[in-house]
Amino acid sequence: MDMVVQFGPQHLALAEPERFKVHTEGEKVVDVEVAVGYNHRGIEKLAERKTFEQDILLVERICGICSMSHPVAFTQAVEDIAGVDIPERANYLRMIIAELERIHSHLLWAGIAAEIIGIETLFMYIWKDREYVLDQLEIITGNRNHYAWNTIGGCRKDITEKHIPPLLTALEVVERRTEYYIDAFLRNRTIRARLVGTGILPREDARKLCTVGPTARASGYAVDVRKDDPHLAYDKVDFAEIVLGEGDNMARAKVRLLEILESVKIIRQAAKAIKGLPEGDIAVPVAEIPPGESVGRYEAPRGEVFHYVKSNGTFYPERVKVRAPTYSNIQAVPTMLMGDTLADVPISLASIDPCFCCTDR
Amino acid sequence: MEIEAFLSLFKKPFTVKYPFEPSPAPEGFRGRTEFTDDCVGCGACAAVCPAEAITVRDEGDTRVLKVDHGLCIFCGTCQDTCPWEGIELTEKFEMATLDKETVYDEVEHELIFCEGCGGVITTRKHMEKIQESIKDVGLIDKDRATIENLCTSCKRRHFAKEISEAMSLGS
Amino acid sequence: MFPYRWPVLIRVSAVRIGDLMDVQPFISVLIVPGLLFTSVMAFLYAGMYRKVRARMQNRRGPPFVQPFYDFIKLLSKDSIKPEKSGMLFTWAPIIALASVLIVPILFPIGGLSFAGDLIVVIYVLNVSAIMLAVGGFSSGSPFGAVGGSREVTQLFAYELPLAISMVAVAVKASSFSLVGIAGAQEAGGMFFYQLPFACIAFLSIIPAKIGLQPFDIPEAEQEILGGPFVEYSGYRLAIFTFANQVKYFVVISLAVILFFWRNWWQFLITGFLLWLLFIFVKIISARVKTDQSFVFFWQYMGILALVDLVRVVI
Repeated sequence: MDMVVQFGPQHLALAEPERFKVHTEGEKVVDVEVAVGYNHRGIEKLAERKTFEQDILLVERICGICSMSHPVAFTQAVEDIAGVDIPERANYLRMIIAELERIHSHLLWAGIAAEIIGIETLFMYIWKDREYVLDQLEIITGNRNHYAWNTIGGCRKDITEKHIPPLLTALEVVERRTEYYIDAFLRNRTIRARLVGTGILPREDARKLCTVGPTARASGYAVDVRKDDPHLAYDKVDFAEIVLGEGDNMARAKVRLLEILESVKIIRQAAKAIKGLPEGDIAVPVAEIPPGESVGRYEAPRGEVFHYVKSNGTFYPERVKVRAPTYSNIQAVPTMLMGDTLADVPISLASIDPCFCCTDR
Repeated sequence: MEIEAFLSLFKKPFTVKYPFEPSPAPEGFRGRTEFTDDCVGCGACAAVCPAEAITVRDEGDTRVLKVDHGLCIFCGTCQDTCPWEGIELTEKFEMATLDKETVYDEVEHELIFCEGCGGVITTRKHMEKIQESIKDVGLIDKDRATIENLCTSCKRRHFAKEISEAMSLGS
Repeated sequence: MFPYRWPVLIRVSAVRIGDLMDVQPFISVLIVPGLLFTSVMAFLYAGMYRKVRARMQNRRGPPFVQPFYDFIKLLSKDSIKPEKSGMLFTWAPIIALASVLIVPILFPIGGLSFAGDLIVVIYVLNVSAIMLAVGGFSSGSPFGAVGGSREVTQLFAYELPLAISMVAVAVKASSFSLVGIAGAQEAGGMFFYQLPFACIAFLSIIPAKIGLQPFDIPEAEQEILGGPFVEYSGYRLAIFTFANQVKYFVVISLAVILFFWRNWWQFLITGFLLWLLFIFVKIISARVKTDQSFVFFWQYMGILALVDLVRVVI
């Protein structure tokens, strides 16, 4: 029975609207058409009407869960045009918030994956532990998402002595529970039945389709901006790049859960490092942005995000171009879905950790 | 996970019975934007607001600053930019309302006008605060009255006239 | 009219009508264990399901009577019938509800029973499952059609162990009626330790029959938007959901009568305990795929039930 099932703009498995027309024969998928653009808000055009400082808050709102990736990539590009070096403490502060965001984003993904394959309990447990991370972000930055943490030249607020102990306690809980969830994902028979062997993306296809982030690393294609082109303070901390070879849904789940453990390690090292740096030295004043252009790259939880900024010497940027990681990863979706059954489509779609608001800006 | 699921039956739930139980925001939470008593009406916040949520309007002899909570993005740029600690982000977050009036917050200041051309100089409170902060710097007292009652263009004209008179006298 | 007058009225009218005809069947069909009792138990089971599930997930959950409130609320909503759907779109939920409501009348707790009613029970429960598929096919949506076809496939899969284990029980009790099976257990002890493999096979098909993880494939909310339920709203959805909730009670009670029967109050308690067990199994399992469930039911559970059938025949 040939059918066209449209996982259309509105679907329970997708948090945001995009259209996937899945052609099936019986329950087997034979073709997938991807249509993006449902979430386009014209942010790049609007960015030309606001000053550089206001643009940081604008690009922060491209996405809610990658809301540290866009400001940091943007400010890195602008600081490069202006030729300033931000203080070391500012780099560590940005890195701590960035890794906290990576933890909460990966936990969010793990919960959504569990919910899509039907095991709602794991979803509730994982999101409960995510609350500890969000509470810490709220205490440190003032909000659970949209941290308003960056400014051109550094950070706006500081992480003081009194913030560190509750942060480390929360990290201990997160680390312990993540190990428990890795165990649950790997041992539960019904979860393995759904995740292992489905949505396979071979390494060569991952490279040719330019996938980034955990989607690529789970297929054996090792790209990670934190290792390839270290920004912030990633060259000063010690962590492992998680690369697995199978390329199925279970490998992508494992990569993300193991990355949470690596992020905990990074935050602990950064928290120790900022003890030695003078408090308050968090930003350098930047008077004006000279004409020029630059690119800022950052490893978001979903992959590499880069911002291209062109300045013509006025208060407003001439052009801001954003390329979000899901825009690259979504090209790999047809390859992943081909040959699998209809039941695997939602979980394979979710396994690239789609953030369609970033895709469409 | 199985054991945890079974034992959770007997433990207290993790959820909070909000709104029947309070769920306060932590210190430093970026909540509702409010003008404090220290606001002088300079309009710096309105100039930097990314969402253009703060508007400045001169009506007659009052200046009205209005913040629209529907447009506000709670970024805190106004709080960081204000030189007088006149606007702050409180810890209130329960802003749902059926009354449209509560969506706007307004503050009014009395304006002072130029004796030369009649245009707006600034608000009275702003001028008082400026005088307060340069009190110790010391200015020649005879110039003070002129400075405080003229707008910038009239001030320039006044001093240019004084200088040209002084130079013509000297020659 | 204050309720204390009603028993008098009923007693009076029962005596009066009882002179003319036997009133027992009416009580069986309408009150216990018929419509009223089954409706109350269905809402109780559904309420327990949501509350226990929530507590196991560290949340509070809705009050126990929430399914009743949902039913009333759904009746008040607009029921939209898609253009491409047929007449069966309305009739599928009604027939499903009618068929599951027939089964409790045959229970050995004051119900009407006759020889061979076990076969009727099997067929009538199948009708309700087929009505789920029919509702999906007649809704004119590809998601409904996929859900319907999955339901039919799953029906085909679990029929085998279901039929074999039921026949094993009937042969052991030398009777194809529920009352006879209950009587045999009262005399000779519960069947679950005498026919353990048939018991395991029967209990394993229960999640598939009532739509709980790990076998709730037809109603997969996240994958096919609810399968057969996708286009239903308003009173049609209310009837369909209520039919599903009655099915929880009916199928669990059937399991208790076939394998765990002692007397009527133990029937109720064991029913609740068994229901708790299935909620727990649902909580800790993900949803398997159609081909995996097929293999599970035909190869493993089918052979298991066959072992017991052979044992009991020989």
